[in-house]
Amino acid sequence: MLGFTPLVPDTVNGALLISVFDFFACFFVLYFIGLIIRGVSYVVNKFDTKKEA
Amino acid sequence: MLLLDMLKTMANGTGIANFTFGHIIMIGFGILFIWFGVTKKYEPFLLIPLGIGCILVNIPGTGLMDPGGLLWFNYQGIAKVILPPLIFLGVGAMTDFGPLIANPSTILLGAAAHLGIFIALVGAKIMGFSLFEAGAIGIIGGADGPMALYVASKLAPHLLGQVAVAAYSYMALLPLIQPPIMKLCVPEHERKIAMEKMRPVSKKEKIVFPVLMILVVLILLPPIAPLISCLMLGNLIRESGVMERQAATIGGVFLDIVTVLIATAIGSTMSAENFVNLKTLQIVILGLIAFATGTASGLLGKLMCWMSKGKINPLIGSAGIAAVPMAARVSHNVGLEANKRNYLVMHAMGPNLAGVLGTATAGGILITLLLGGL
Repeated sequence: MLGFTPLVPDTVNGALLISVFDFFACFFVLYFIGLIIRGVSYVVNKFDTKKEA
Repeated sequence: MLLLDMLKTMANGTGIANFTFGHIIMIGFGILFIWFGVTKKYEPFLLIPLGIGCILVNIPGTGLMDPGGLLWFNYQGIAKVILPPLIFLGVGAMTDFGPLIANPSTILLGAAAHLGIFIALVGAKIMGFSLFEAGAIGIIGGADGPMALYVASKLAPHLLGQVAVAAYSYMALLPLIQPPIMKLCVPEHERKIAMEKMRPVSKKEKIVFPVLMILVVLILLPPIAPLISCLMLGNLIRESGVMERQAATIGGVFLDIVTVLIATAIGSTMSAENFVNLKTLQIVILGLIAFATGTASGLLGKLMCWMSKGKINPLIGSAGIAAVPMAARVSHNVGLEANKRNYLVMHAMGPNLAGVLGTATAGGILITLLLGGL
């Protein structure tokens, strides 16, 4: 708080806005994390295979 | 006369003289928690200390929750956000993130299961709570105790007790809350689906994962650093393979001790003075709605089941509400009821762990938007 002006109004519409925003942001952040996990796993496994070969 | 005065002073000094109806109700709740823990075995490691904390704080005159009292010191562990990161350290040290690494697409189930947070948030605002309070109440739906404590301590510290009690009690009562919703949403032929074995995850992947998560999650959402950094530190200690003794201690004895302390601290917030009011009832109802809708929305797994042509059992989606590993265990048990050869627990751990990241993400975004990242 400390002098910070909230972006979202303290109303039901504000609650709806923050909820929809947070839900979709959460989806995108997790999707992004999922992609990174997939990418890193691919690189790590490829590196492992090369070493074994 | 002196004897009479002495008896009077004695009587006034006992708890009996100061008992109110509210104290009796709350002691009744404490006994109920212990009963559920002992006879029904619903997460006894949470319910038994929670019940004892609740009973202790409702015996008048003990002074245990007054500044300097034993329970007051213990409570500072959650009020100052010391114990929640320690719980995450222990959880990290005992958790195998392999199922999530093996099947990263299940991470979306962790996101879907968080709809409950937002339904409770809007519901709380409609009921007249401020947006900060609504955010703290909504996070109950993440079914992640330490994260609920952390977000509530930031957004609405005065509701910490109610939020903590709702979050931890519902987590302990997951085996009662989730199965009816799961059976209602998922038909029996889908519950019977046995999933294929997951690919093995290499040691290197498991070591890279916690470091990667610290970098990615904390760069995106710095406000949740205390919890995610401890979770991933614990996991790196486990997966490094060079700190086996420490990993066993942190994920075992240490976690057990911190759990007893945190559950007792939460129970000690349940004093009749704080709890016997309409706000508590509203928070308890909103928490239940959040858990129920979170379970139902996690069953978006049905969509994944359809997209994978019946290879994914939709039951694993309900584990996306975090509560590691209870929710995964519930998915497994409901699946096992439908098909005796169905072993879903490892598959459900993927969305379950995604749920931890999902709650952290949702909480981090709430803190950033409402407090400007402070």
